[in-house]
Amino acid sequence: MDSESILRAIRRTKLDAEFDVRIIEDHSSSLSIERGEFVGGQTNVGKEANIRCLYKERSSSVHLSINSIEDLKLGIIRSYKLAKTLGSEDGQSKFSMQKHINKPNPFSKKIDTVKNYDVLSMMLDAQKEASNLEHIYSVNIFSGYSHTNLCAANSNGINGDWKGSSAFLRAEVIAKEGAEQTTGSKGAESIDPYGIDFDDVVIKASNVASRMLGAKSAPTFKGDLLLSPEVSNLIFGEFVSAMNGEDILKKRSFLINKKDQVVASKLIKLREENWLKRSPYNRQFDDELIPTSSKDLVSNGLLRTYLHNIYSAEKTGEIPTGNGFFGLDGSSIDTTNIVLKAGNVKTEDLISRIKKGIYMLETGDSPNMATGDLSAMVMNGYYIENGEIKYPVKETMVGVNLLDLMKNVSVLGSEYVGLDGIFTPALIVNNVQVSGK
Amino acid sequence: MLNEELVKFFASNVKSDFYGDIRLNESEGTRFVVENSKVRKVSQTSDSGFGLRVMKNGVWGFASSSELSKKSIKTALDSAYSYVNSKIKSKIRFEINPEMNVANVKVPWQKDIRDIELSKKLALVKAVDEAARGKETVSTLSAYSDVVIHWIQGSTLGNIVSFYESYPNLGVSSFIKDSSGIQSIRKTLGGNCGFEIFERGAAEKLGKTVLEEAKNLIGAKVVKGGKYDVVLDPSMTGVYTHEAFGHATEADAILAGASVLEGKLGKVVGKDTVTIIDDPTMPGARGSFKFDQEGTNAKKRVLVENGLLTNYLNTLETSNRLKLEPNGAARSMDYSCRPIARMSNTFIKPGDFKDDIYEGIKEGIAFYGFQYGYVDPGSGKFMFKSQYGRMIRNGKLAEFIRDAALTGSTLEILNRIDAIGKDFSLDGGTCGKEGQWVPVTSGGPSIRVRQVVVGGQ
Repeated sequence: MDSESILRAIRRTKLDAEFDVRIIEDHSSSLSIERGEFVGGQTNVGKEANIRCLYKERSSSVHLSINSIEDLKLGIIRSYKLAKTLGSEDGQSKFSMQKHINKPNPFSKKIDTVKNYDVLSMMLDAQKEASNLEHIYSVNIFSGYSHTNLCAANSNGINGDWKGSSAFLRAEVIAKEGAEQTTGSKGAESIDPYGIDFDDVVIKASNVASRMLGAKSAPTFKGDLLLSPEVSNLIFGEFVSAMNGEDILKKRSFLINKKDQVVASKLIKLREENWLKRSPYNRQFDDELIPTSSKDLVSNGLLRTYLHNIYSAEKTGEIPTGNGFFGLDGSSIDTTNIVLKAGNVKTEDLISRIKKGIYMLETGDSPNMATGDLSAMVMNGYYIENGEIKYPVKETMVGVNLLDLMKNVSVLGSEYVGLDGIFTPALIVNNVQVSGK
Repeated sequence: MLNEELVKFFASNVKSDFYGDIRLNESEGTRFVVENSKVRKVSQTSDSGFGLRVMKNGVWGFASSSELSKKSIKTALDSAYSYVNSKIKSKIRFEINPEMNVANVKVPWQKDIRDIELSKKLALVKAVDEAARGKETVSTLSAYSDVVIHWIQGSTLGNIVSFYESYPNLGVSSFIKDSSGIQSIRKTLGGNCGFEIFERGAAEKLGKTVLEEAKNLIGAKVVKGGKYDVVLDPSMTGVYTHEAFGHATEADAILAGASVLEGKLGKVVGKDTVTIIDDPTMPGARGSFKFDQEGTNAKKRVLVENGLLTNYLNTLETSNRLKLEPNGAARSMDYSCRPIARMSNTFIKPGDFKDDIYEGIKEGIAFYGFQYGYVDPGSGKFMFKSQYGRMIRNGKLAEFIRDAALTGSTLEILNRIDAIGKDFSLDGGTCGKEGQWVPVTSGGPSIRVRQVVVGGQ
């Protein structure tokens, strides 16, 4: 199925409403290694459609698994009936009318010829090397790859096709000494498994696990925070989420009324790039068929834009920014690639600049999006004093408002990670509350 | 419509030296989102497909497809065999011995959500949104969702079960504003049940409760970080029980060497006043089910009895490898996911304390309502954030606080529980593991825990 066949299906219904249809075909494979043993693999094949209908400014959506053009037609009729009887009165007034330029897509030609044996061998080799390290108790590795075909069209005659591929690796390592047990986990992504350094990821996870042995609670104090690229990734992901135009509209974001205002240190140069080499997150049009774009999000410390789908753009009087992506709850707002420009200071030099602080390697927290307040557990991390790592920490939390955190970024590092389409370096934040013993 | 014919076709096509099982799944759902009294989103979902597994010599091959046909089953079988027949072999060995259940369970709930008119569902969510609005609120966000799932599952050994699950759910958030910004309270009501759960004014009561609790946050300050004695309400107790402890009892984590409870079966892990239960047989509860996804009858599992670790949550594979009894804990999100060890309704058994639970606390914090959290079952480290809190001063509840979060280690906290309340309630939620989201509940009584690290500013 391609976008032309969707266009024809929409036109043939001859219903007095507008439709916007997106079909995704996905083929994925994954493999698991448990403590050095191959325990199984998985293949998933799925095809699903998302159909949106606008009937006299009332909207509905239908999401269904489909196997034929007939299924699609039935879905279109279902969305029509739903919009006509109980459609939302607070939807967008139109679908995309913007033509986009078809660019070469990020599809890896290698993805169709990936051999599970090759991937498994890379996983096992990495596992063996890590298992030989001191204190390493168990190494569990998961890897997978997929290719996706997306085709979309709407009643305005706008259509597009996109083909993408992706691969991931995740290593979870346990270190043990006596009764104490610690964990280290690392992940990596690319457009095929051959773009991932399996050994590097698994060894890094193992090093984190073994170095966390002997952790204790840090003191309670106000000091500096060194964020690893992974923690920086998580924090900047949340910061970009706060630019969501729907949350701005509904007054549920701490970035409301902050456009063109100072929201960060002048060091922060944050951009959306819709095209990066070997990124699985490249797209030339969003899920609403609006062209995506590369743009400044924060520069010179100022917030340059909010992120809009058609709905939030209409309601706020702005223009769609090509950020309409469907989430679990239907039409939502998301991004392609987010890039925070790195600095040139190595991590060991970042550590040496901290008088008293915490080096945060891992957390899982997200802030209160309405206030920006963040209370985050140091899942893995170190206490630093006078430029030296003193000990690994546990039962330690940091508390900071995200706007204060952004404004207090004082140094950007050169160590870099790209996960979930967000590319961030390590960095230092001054004046953060640490809660421990 | 699903039928057993495809299960029989699958069983007859699996090679004789393999174990195999298949899950067929068909679901229909509806969702309404109301914001500030306006209908924001109206959607319906319809999904179907199958997932099959084959196993030989300790290796599983799994394959799924959204196309329910004999041709797709044959293609999927070939994919699944390719993993098992890999040149790379496993030293792990186990047998799969399912309960030989043959059952066709009819819809068990009183008011089938498929028989309720869409307009009635929409009226319900509008009513709850209205109830959550007051002069203090800047906005409200309410959602009604339901899904009915029909499962048929069977194996090459001849067991086959057909059953339904039904998950109506209503959630409402009320947002208020004060000088520190916008705060919100969210609550949900749902189960594995029929539309009867929303009767007798339950929905409107939910909206009013959210509004009342949101008002408490006006002027609330962020707590000063440090170590405190704390009292967790049933919602927060449930989160500790589920996240920090329950995940560590999932036997796949035990086998992977990724749980702090590995090797602790039969040993003391907490105070002798603590009993922890996971029970999928509670009628109507969101985490309940009749059969797990390997066709094993749901069973009540006592995980900790008077401080002693007594059980893990097992699938057919983990129980065989650990030489334990299967206890019906294999769950999968849908046909596209393999069954893995999961919780159901997980809680601490109530004790005797009432308001005296605050006695002896000079300066402490009471936590109310779960907001979010996470745990690393391998190290036992966890962090949970409540919707709000109250300072405890000299044994009495004092001012409200916002954005209160706590952190700790699973076993250390279990040993610091020194008072268990008489109260009891369960909260519905959706639990994530390995990308699979399944409905659960967690709860228990209020508990008092000594010297916990609390995050603040």
